[in-house]
Amino acid sequence: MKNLELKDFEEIYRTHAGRVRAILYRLDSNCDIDDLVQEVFVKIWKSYNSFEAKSSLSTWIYRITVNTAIDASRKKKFWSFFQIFSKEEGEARADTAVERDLVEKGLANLSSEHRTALVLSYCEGFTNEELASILEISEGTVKSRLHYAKKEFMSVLEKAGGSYE
Amino acid sequence: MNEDNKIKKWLMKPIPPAPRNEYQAILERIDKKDKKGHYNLKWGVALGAGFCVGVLLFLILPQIRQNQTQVMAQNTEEVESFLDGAFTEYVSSFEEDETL
Repeated sequence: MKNLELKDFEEIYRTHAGRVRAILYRLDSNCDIDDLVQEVFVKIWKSYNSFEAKSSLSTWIYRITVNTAIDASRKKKFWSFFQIFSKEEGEARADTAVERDLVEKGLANLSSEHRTALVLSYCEGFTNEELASILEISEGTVKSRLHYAKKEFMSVLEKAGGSYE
Repeated sequence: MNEDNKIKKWLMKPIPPAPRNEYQAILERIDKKDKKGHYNLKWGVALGAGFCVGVLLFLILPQIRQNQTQVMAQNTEEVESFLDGAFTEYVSSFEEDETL
């Protein structure tokens, strides 16, 4: 049974924290990002013994990151069911802020699988092969999810208006 | 701008910076979870043991009571029959004296 030394754990943190934070935030910018980052690294610490080196360490870490984001999103959806009234009063906002809201909502309306594929591909630059490894799906499925996500997101951008040119 | 660049432009939001003591916060969280895990384990074992003892007592106590009752009844019967016997003997000893 492998044990993670503290100095190795710190090395893992220094190497991957930035990207973990970026992935979590881009998947859901309304999340409690600091809390989720901590949770990811706690999971890494606790489950390092079960890491079998079938994939690279980075892939394994990003897999934990994506799963943590998905779990957080599900919990949020569960609790938002009980929020009957949501106040959205406020000052009038600039058009770009309104458009960004529309885009954010459009992105949120994608399923977590499609949103994850889109974000990891376009923002983090993962190849289809890397995505397949992180998400534990076939490359064909990655391509299909990306194709659908891109189509849906483009239609959201078109509805949001023209300032995205 | 082509589609890929449009998508990238909208997805690439600036990331909020990490707090300075994030690594320390992670270590403290790990430590807290470890302690909570031990605490929960102790409670779990205590509750489990208590439950088992409760079930055992629930099953065994009626049996013990029943046995006690049976033993007492048996003892009472024996005592009664001894007393009957002794009394009869006592009475018959008087009758023998009378005939004498």
